[in-house]
Amino acid sequence: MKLAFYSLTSCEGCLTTLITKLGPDIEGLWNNFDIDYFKLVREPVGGSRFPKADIAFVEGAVVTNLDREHLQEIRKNSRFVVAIGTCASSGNIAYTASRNVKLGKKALSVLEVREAEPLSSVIAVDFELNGCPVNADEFIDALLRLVNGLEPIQPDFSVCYECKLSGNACLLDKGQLCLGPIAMGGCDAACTSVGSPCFGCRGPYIEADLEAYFKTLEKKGLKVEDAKPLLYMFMGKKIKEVLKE
Amino acid sequence: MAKLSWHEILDLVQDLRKRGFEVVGPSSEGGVVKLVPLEDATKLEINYVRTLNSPKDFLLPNKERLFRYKSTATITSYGLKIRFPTVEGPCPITIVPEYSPPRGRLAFFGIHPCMVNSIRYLDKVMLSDPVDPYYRARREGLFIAVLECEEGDEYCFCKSVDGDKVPKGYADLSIRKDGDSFIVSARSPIGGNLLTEEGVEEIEEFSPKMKEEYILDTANEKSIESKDPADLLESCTLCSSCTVVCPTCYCSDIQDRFSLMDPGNVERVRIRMSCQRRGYSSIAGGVTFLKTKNERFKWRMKHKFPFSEKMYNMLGCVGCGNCIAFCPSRIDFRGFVGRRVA
Ligand code: SF4
Ligand code: SF4
Ligand code: SF4
Ligand code: SF4
Ligand code: SF4
Repeated sequence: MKLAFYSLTSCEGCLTTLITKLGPDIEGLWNNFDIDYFKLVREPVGGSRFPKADIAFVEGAVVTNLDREHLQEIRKNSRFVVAIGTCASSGNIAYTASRNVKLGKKALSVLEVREAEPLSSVIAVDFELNGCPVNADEFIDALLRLVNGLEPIQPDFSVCYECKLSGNACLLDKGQLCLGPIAMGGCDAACTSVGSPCFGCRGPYIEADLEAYFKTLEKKGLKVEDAKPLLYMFMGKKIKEVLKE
Repeated sequence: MAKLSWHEILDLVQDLRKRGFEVVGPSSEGGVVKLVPLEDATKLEINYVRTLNSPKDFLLPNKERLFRYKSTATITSYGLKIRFPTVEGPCPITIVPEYSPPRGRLAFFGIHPCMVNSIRYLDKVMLSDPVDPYYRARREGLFIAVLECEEGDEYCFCKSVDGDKVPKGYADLSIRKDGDSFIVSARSPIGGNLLTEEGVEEIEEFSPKMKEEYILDTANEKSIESKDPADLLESCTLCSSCTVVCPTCYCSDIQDRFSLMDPGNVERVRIRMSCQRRGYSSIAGGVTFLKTKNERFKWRMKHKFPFSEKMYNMLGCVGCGNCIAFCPSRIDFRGFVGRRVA
């Protein structure tokens, strides 16, 4: 089975995370699969920049025209395309940032920078693994399920669930704005467990209920207006869809 | 009965540890009180109303390995093929269940009567036929030192559901605050042994002062079905905290964990589930039975009250109020299944 790992405009943190966080499983990955391209690790095998792959994993947002062309080539040459990381799944920080800055003529002509988009705005994506960066355990689960012809599973709980399982006192009670109730879980409440509020880096939870969340904030004496910029920080296009704005 | 100083109370904790118990008790941590293993007895907190977690975290952990099994995973030109023994024929090797390693005996020190009642409920669920061997292994030889509760907070309502009385056989020691000292009574031979006393005492049960009391006269299936909780749940984000912090919620999910390193070696784990999550009532084909938050809330109420009463002859709610106090929007179910009388 052939795998390929691509990178579009990003910090390359997701692929780096896979390399550093897979631990002994990275050996398993190398021994059990043909890795025909791995940005940062292995040049494309067999001459083409986009080798034929059973599963292509793509990190990064679509920002430049070149990203767009490459992504279309990847789609043509891969049986499954899996977006890895929040840049690829929602556009991440670049999504909102690129809409808030006025791009000069130079940027448009030389770098061909456009408004950032998630992969799904350009091609059909088979599955999205969220997280900034992606979670290595989730990656393995998804890979093994795909290999066995099963659809991978998205977490069906918000960050609060794992936050409570970890035994944390709620930051909303301390007057801190936390996006936990509407943020997709699966990170083991990494931030709230060390006392920092959740900024929703994995995008919205599959049953995110913004109205209920805003009501919760009001009950706590927190301002809905203060929450909105946070919503746009990581959740990019996904939150736009949830907000129906 | 003995009158002990704070120091002597801490000595009891040490004594239990010396006798091989893993002593778990309330301790202040990060702005909340939690039950934690008391490696240092001085960490014990005795002036508290509620703990964020509960005995279930130790008797029925969030995640536990049930056993490992061999699958006939092979790597073919198509990739890694994992054959599930139940699907493709008999399991190639016998499954040898691996119980959690013996951790010494557990002792809960300084838990309130509502939490003791939650253990009784878990016993009914996990020890009725078929017995859950993992739970039984942890439960065996359990020692309980109950701390009598003086006064609850606005979310407590144990009196309304009989959660304030310690059931028979569920206490080895009773601790009652008395000014700066503590009156400790032996409730079992081992409790007596710890106090170097003979015999077991019948003590008059103390009942905490309540801020609120309820009569649960609409906690039946018909009333729960007929009511509309939409207004109550306006701010419910389906975060499931209510079931995580509930001392009697026992639902779990079973998962098989594969590793890339050794694909043939599979780990079967049991992890916490919640009826507030979509996955709880989803089946093959993408059908979900409990779709909305109204339905999920009603299910929670039905399971806590009429269903538990029918199945275990005991309410599934011990009145600890945790699900209200730790709900990010403080959703209070009490008015839904009853009415306030005090
Ligand atoms: S701190 Fe944040 S994630 Fe944790 S329970 Fe509160 S709102 Fe949820
Ligand atoms: S707590 Fe929130 S911001 Fe932090 S890793 Fe998890 S989803 Fe991302
Ligand atoms: S804790 Fe509160 S907000 Fe969360 S699911 Fe339960 S009732 Fe809803
Ligand atoms: S349902 Fe609520 S009040 Fe009742 S035992 Fe559970 S957490 Fe406590
Ligand atoms: S069905 Fe819901 S309320 Fe009942 S034990 Fe399970 S999680 Fe708790």
